Amino acid sequence: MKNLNALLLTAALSGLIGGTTVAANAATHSNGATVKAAKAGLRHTGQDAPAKHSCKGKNDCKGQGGCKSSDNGCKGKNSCKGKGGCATDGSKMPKAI
Amino acid sequence: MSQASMGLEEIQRAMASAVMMPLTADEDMRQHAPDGRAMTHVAAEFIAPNSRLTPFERLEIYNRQYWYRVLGALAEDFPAVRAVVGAKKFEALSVAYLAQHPSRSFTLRNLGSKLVEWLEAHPQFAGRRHALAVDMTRIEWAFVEAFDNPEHEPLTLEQIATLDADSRLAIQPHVRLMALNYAADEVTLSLHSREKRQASEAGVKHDDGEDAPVRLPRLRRRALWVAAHRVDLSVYYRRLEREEYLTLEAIRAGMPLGAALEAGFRDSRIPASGRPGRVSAWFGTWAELGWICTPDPGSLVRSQEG
Repeated sequence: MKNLNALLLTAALSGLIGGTTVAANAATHSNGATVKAAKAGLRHTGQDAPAKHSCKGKNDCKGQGGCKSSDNGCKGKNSCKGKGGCATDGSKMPKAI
Repeated sequence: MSQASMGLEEIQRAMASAVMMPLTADEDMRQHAPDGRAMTHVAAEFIAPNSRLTPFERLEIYNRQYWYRVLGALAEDFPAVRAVVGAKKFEALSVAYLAQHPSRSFTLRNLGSKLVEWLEAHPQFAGRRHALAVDMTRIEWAFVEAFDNPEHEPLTLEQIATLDADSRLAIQPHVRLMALNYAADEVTLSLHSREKRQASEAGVKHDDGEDAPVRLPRLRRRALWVAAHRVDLSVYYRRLEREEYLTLEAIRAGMPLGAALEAGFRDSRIPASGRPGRVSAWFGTWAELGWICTPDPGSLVRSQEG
């Protein structure tokens, strides 16, 4: 058992050294990302679209709307009808010319 | 009490509890607060009327917007769970969950952080597909975490050279490990692709006709181990061997490397002769993906401290 544990530890350390070396070499070559992605598994397709989560915890959504923490939650909801969009004072939205 | 006699904190607390109060079935603000007071009086305590709206009506707009926003955010983070339980049931589930776990953060990203545990304890909200829905909730929440959890500097060759059986390592926070009861990963990903396809075909997606749960092929219960993680700003998932998953969990739990390897092979059917090769391949892949890092400076190598 002790021998097996020693073998496993050696295997773990040699694996770590091998993998770290591969990662370091890949980083210096232009295809580094491709090599890494090949080991990464399946890509989650939902992440192709940057829209909905891209602003979480980041500043890059500022001024672009659509961020979950932005205050545009009333879009398309009936409760705003006749009350001037999202205005909470009941005033009407200014009309575009 | 009137607004003039209320402090800022009191006004904020009164506003928050009113805004976070669940809506009626008709999506109106409730007539009474949980303590039995009429909401017309509660609203009048800290909101002035204007020429068009009463305090109740002005507060009701915020109350509705809070719920529309949080319900929309939760549905956005759990589209596969929503498809599997059905839109109507998912909304009821969301209202019940959010009533117990309202938004507590500046970002709605954290809204679903307790949903797995909550759904496990409330099977009535998921119906006959409860176990599958819990698995899918676990996966979809893991995708959220894998997307924006922190990433630390991976282990360097110099650090690896100092490791021994007593060393404690850490797993990158964006690597989310899951033990599932179904092949829920395949179902979730195919529902995400379907969702994406529908959204791009329709332009603007309508909810009409989506109330019923989506049809699924019969799924057999079987144990499955999966990791969701991030590579170059994209989220990936990898199936893991049971022993690989257990070793990663043991490392994450803070066990020394030697003990983590033992824990990984507890009750394993992999013959002893095949284990070193497996371990070498796992650690090689983890290192290549940068999954292994140090827990904190100074605690990496115990034997050097003592």
